[in-house]
Parts: sequence; structure tokens; C-alpha cells
Amino acid sequence: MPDNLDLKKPSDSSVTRRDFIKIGATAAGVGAALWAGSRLQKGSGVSSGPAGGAAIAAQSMEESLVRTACAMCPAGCGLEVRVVGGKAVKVEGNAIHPLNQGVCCLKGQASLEVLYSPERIRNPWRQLGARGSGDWEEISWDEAIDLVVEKLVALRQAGKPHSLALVHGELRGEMRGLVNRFMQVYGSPNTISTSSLGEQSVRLASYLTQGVNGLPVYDLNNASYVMAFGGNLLESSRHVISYLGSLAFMRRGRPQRGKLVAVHPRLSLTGIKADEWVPIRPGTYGALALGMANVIINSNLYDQDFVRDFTFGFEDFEDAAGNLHKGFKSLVLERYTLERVSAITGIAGETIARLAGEFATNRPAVAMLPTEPGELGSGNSLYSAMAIHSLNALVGSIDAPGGVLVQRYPTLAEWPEISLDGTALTGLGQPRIDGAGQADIPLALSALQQLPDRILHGEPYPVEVLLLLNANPVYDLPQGGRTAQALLQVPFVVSFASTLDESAAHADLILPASTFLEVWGDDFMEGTGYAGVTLRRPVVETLHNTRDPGDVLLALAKHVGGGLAEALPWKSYWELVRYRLSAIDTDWEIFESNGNWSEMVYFNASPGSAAWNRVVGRDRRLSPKDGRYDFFSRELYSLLANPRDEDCLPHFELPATLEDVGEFAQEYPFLLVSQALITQSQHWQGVVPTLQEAYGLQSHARWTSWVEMNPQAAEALGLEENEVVWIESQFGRVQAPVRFYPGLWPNAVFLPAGLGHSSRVKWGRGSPEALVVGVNPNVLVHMQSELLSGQAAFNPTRVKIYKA
Amino acid sequence: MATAWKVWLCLLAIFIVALVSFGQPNATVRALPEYSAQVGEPCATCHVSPSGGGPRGPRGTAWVASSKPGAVPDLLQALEILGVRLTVDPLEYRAVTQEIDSAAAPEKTSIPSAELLEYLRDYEGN
Repeated sequence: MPDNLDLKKPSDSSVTRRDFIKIGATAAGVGAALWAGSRLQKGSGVSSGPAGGAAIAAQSMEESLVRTACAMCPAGCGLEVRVVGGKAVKVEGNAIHPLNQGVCCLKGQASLEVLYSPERIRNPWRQLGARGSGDWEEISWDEAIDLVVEKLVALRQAGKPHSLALVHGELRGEMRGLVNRFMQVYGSPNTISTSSLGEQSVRLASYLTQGVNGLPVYDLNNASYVMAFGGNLLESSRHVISYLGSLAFMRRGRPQRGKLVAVHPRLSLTGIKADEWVPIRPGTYGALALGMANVIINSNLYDQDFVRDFTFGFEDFEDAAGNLHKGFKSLVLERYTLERVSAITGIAGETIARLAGEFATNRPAVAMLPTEPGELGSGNSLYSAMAIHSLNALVGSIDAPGGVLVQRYPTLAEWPEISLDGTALTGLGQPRIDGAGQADIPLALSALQQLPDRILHGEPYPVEVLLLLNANPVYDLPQGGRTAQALLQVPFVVSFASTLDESAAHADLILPASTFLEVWGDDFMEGTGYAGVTLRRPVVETLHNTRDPGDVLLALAKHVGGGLAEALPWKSYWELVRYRLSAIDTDWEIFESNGNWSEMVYFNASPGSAAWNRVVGRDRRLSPKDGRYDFFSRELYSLLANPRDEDCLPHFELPATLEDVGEFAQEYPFLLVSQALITQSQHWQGVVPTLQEAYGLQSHARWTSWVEMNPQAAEALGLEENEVVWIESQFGRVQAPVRFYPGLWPNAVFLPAGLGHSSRVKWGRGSPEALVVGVNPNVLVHMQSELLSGQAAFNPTRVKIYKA
Repeated sequence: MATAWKVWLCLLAIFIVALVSFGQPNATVRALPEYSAQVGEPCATCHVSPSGGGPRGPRGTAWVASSKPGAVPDLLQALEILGVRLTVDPLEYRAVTQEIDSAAAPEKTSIPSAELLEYLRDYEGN
């Protein structure tokens, strides 16, 4: 009789040897799991920094939990990465991090795919053939650094340090300070950020009205009424995870439930989860805000004490010379009647009136501004942002519980004094290559969208060396292929890309960046209001021959020498970070162990308190720091030559794109709108398979683009669901299957962003190396600059749709 | 009979291991209504959620860190216990009865645009 049948026989015998092994193995397994869980909970495996010994777990099967800061999006959550035998195997949220409190979104979960991506560039590359040919050779770091240093030294010797330009995307912690310092001491004014594609106008609106040079954060935990104008609050806002927690608490975690209203042409996940979605004609958020202000003022529902004592320019006023000026109240009551605003926005007058009434009577209420690319990019972003923000002042929600907070930051050790030599001073005296701050865009902090044309025209002077740090302008702003041409015109282009993105493909040299899971650094905690810092630390040894761009910049400074080496004396980026953080009065061991430090509590400044001037008027340069919120921007009045009153007040101008008349509007009847998704990865992350598998959470589309259309519009064109169509603008066309989506403004169409990368797919479901996943909607747009702010204006773009 | 014995043996083994593992001194502490009765304060004093459970706020964290005394420390005491050295003076944030400045009308002042933008680009934070 076979042995295996023996086990099935009824038996009254004692425990067999096999039973014993089974029980023992079960108990041991459970025990091991519980022991491991207990041990990991204690954080006993948390690694110490370089000063404390080995940075990571040894290559045994030792397990550890390493706390670090996420960089998959700007939220900056705390992570706990489980490392086994030197391999990162699982990512979760850091339970003692104030922002995410243990929560980890799917992006964070997928970050190991970025770390272990086969798309990563493993060594410095030099392009041998023509730029863009893909003829690369691997070189050593010493060779690569020498190549860059040679160019930088030559530029300075030629008295042309301003011919160096650095384009950067999101920079975290000390990295922005390092970059700015590097460029300043070298002598170039051309540190160009991607902010003009995203949050620039919001920052300026905060400065021009509230007098605070920062992005507002919102106290959703204590708000009773939250109105999100544009953006995708629960998917892609700067503080998405903390806001998710706050909104859940606001609506389900406290006795009195708050209300969330989402205003957008498209019903996103935010709109779906909101109490109310308000569909609006694209590009008209500012008009809605002013229409609501009209109702609130007309009904005397505004906070009259606050407006009287702590704002400026609400009523008409006389200046020192006795000239009468129009105030916000007069402008709004005259120009933004319900009828007019309803006609502009497409929202029924009674809906606007109801929203205004709800907003003003359910305090604390807060109106939120979007910071995602394109959300305010209709050519009226600055005044729209000022209009939306003014709603907060009307109801007294400035630095009030449940209102707008002013993000605080820790006091750090001072940067060492710098001395600028004559070459640097000459270079810094030159105009910026992107035109920011000049002519029609005097308030532009950056104007990246102008860079390609200005490089191609050699205006105001040729760019000799271009550094690309966490930026991919060829993808972000193709400008009909001119950005790629512009890169080819620059004699020497260096990219810090970690995968071969479209811009890196046009570079001479790639200095591959390590991922955020391999480096030391810091990250300012933003979104809570109170000051805090999250530590970034390597969870594994650097997988490839890559480096932290911070270390590379310091190495370049050292080799260029002179004032640059003196200004940046640190041997490593981590040493720099440690120096800066040394001023924080806390126990460093606890700081390291927790992975973060924060003040834990936000103190709201009561109007009129000693601290009030830190939350209103703090950063003004041209107008009084008198603790008054400016409905009439005194900064703008001072800055602009011969301003009209309206130039200093929030107002609304209809973007030309929205004029539904004329041949152009007939030929291109649809409005292409953008909205960032939670599944969208950043350029340096390459293709992330898990995010691709979930890309269209609403449309169920995966590994592809799709175009959403309102079913009525689609049927009018005779289209069928999933039929492949062309989406064509004046500037280009792309193909995608059409999805019928009733949650879309009637003549709007939506294409997801973040797809269509053309140079780098090496993994994923059955994808050959050259496969392009989806299409890049940016090829359909041409970015222009909004007057005054320099914000890129491109949303919506008019398109037509027809069968492929 | 033997099957039952095996099951009992298995359960016993799991129980013993679980007992040892969860008996660790820093095992997770659960929210308990009796704590609220003990200190005479609502759950929201210690927890983010008013119904208790889940993440603790600073006061709750400090109360646990100080071995659960009879009273929950107030906010400033809690921050001290947790080693948080505030960089702000909370008193400055409270309302005062000082005179409210009258609004200053706008004036034309000048500053080089480049200087203003350099100032604005030098913001705090990420």
C-alpha cells in the first residue's frame, strides 16, 4: 500500500512524525511572523546614517524598516521601507509621520518599480554621434565631471557665465538652495524652473493679496465648507495624502459633517467623492468666484468686522493725492452680476447664488486654489487666483481654524557668506534668457515656455551650456518640435535624468541621478501649516553607478574652484543637509529614528495679535506691512506703470479660446482640458507598470491613452465607444480610442497627461523596447505667456475630433 | 480523538507563541473608553478622531509617553514632554486689544524689477 494512502486511514494512533513536523512548522511560522512583526514595529532595524555606521542592512537576510521621505509626488509623505537582505521589498507609510500617518498611496507602493526599473541609466553616458542619435558610450564619473568642469571654466574665462542655464523641476529640501547658490556664485541669472507651467500664479496671487510669498495650505480638518476650484484635490494636489485624511475626518470623523464642493469641467475622482460637483466651462473659475463674491456682498453675508479692520480696498477710497479709486465691492457689484457670470461660466444663476450662500453661512469656509499644471493656464490665471483667494478674505478665513494657513518652516543654520567676483557680478547683471521679469511679464519668476524660441533666436544671447535637472522640456512643452530644435542649438547639454527621457535623448552628457530611495536628503513638511522636516535616507545601497545630483553639483563647484568652491564647501550633499538642519533644536537620534521632526501644532494668529503680521503682509516689499489683506493690491499699484484700478483688483477676462464664434471655433469646436491623475508618474520615474495597470481609474483604460467625450457630442459625430479617433489642433494631432463620459462639459474633451513618452519603454506587459505607451497631449498645445505673471497659457486648447 | 488532539496541540502552540509575541512591552496600545473615564476628558483629547482610536494628537502621545498619569497634559506641557521646542511664542498668536492701524493708501514706490523677483524667488520651503 502506498504511503500516501496510509495518511487517509482513520487512526487512533498518536501523533505521527509528519503531524509533528506540520505542527512544528506552523507554530514556527506563526512565531516567526509575529516575532518579525513585533521586532519591526519596534523599529529595531532602522538603519543609522553614515556617521552612525553602515547606511543600510548588510547583505545577509537581516530585515529592517527604513524610514525615509517619498518623492513620487510633491506631497512628501513619510515612508517605511522593509528591507530584507539588502533588497527593498515593501513600502508602507510611516505611521508616525504627521502628513500621511501610515497611509501610503499606490504611487508610494509602486516606488520600488522606480528603484529597480530596467530603464534606469546605470553609468554616465556621453553621446558620440549627433545629438538625438542614441549613439551613447559609457564613461566614468571622473571623465564626466571633467567634461562639465572644462565647459564651465571656459565660460567663466570668456566672461560669459550668464550663458549657463539650468532648467529644473521640483526641488526638495536644501536642493533648491544649493542650486540657487551654485548658479548665483557661478554668475548666471538663468535658474529656470517649471513653475510657470503650474503653481506660479498661485504663489504670486498669495503675495499680491495676502502679502505672503508662499503657496497657501488649507485647514480642512476644521473646515465646514470646502470649495475646490479646479485641480484634482484627492488625486494630484500638492498635499494629496494629508488632504485625503483631513477630508475623511471632516466628513466622517467628527460630529458635524463638512461639505466638499468640487468645481471642474470634468468629474474626477475628487468630484465623485465630493458632496457636490459643479461642472463649469473651462477657464472660467475666476468669474465664478467673482459671481459668488457679488452674492455674498449683496447679501451682507461677508465678515464685516474682518473686512473693515483687516483688509484694504474693499470700499472705494482716495489716495494721498485725493484721487478716487474703485474698490473691490464696487467692481464686483457692477461687473459680476449673476446673469453675466452665469453666461460666462455656464452655471445656473441660482446655483451660483446657492453656493455663495452656503459658503458664506457655513463657516469656517475655504476656497482652494489648484497648483497642477494647466489648471489655471487659461491666460487669466493671476487674477482668477486673486479672485478665488478673495473669497477667503470675505468670510474671514485668513489664518483662521478651518481656513487658509501660512506654511511655516524651521529656522535653519545660515548659509555661509558668499563673495561674488567680478565675473559673477557681470553675469548676474544680464537679462534672463527666458525673459522672466522683462517687458510684458514683469512678475514672472520663470517663463520656461519662452525658452525654446529665445534659444532658437539667440535672444538675448546664446546659451552655451544647459543643465537639465528633474526637467524634461521636450516632453512638457514640445512647441511643435521647437524645444528639441532649441536643445540641438545649445552647444553643450547635460541631463541629470535617471531614465532616458525625451530631453536627455538630446543631451551630450547624462549624469544619471540616483533615485530618492538611494540618497540622503531632507524634505520640508508642507501641508500641515506647522514647521517640520522629513529625512530622506538610502534604503538600499546605490544599485548602479549613479549619484545624487546634489553631490554632483558640489563636485562641480569644487573642481571649478574659486568663489564657487568656497561658497559650497561641503564634501557631500548630506553633509550640507546636516549642517543646515543642525539649527533645529531637537534630539538628532530621535529625529533620525522617527524619520521626521515637526512642531506638531499650528497656532492660528488672531487678527490684531502680535503674530498677525506674520500671516498677512509679511513679505511685502512695495506696500505697507499693516496686517491688511489687499483686495486692491497695493503691491501691483506700486509695481505697474500707470495702472488702472482694475489692474490692481481681482477681475475676469474671457480667454480668446473660449469665444465660441467665428470660423476657428467652428473648425475646432472642442476644448481640450487637462487634469492630473494620481496614476501619473513624473518624468524621472520612467514607466511604472503598476501605475500603468491602474492608469484610467474611471475609464478602466490601461497602458494606453484615451479621449473622453460627452456622449451627446460623440453621438453627434457618429462615434462609437472605443472607436479610434484623431484629436487635432492647429499644432499637431494624436490618436486615441474615444470613451463616452457624461461627467464632462459638453464641448470639452479630456486626454490624460503623462503618457506618450517616446524614448524609454523597456518593461511592461509585452512591450517591445520601442513601444510608446499612449500619446502626449502636449503636442496639441502651444504655450504662450500670460501678461504680467508669465504663467504658461494653453488650457483649454481648441481641437477637432474625427474618425481615424 | 487523535485529530482533536492534534488540533488542540496546534492551537496551544500558536497561543503560546502569540502570547510571547504580543507580550512585548511596547506592543500596540488600543484606545479604551476607560481611559476617558480615568482622566475625565473626551476621547478627542488624545485622539485625532473624536470617537477615539486611531492616531493620537500631541496630548495623547505625551500622555502615553509619560506613563498615563491621572490627567492629560495640556498642549504646551505635552510638547515639552515630547521634546518639541517651539520656535514661536504661542502668546503672540492670541488676540490683543491693540489699536488697529488705519489703512495706508497705495503709493508709488520703486524697486528694480530684477531685485524684486530675486527676492520673490528666494522663498522658503520645497
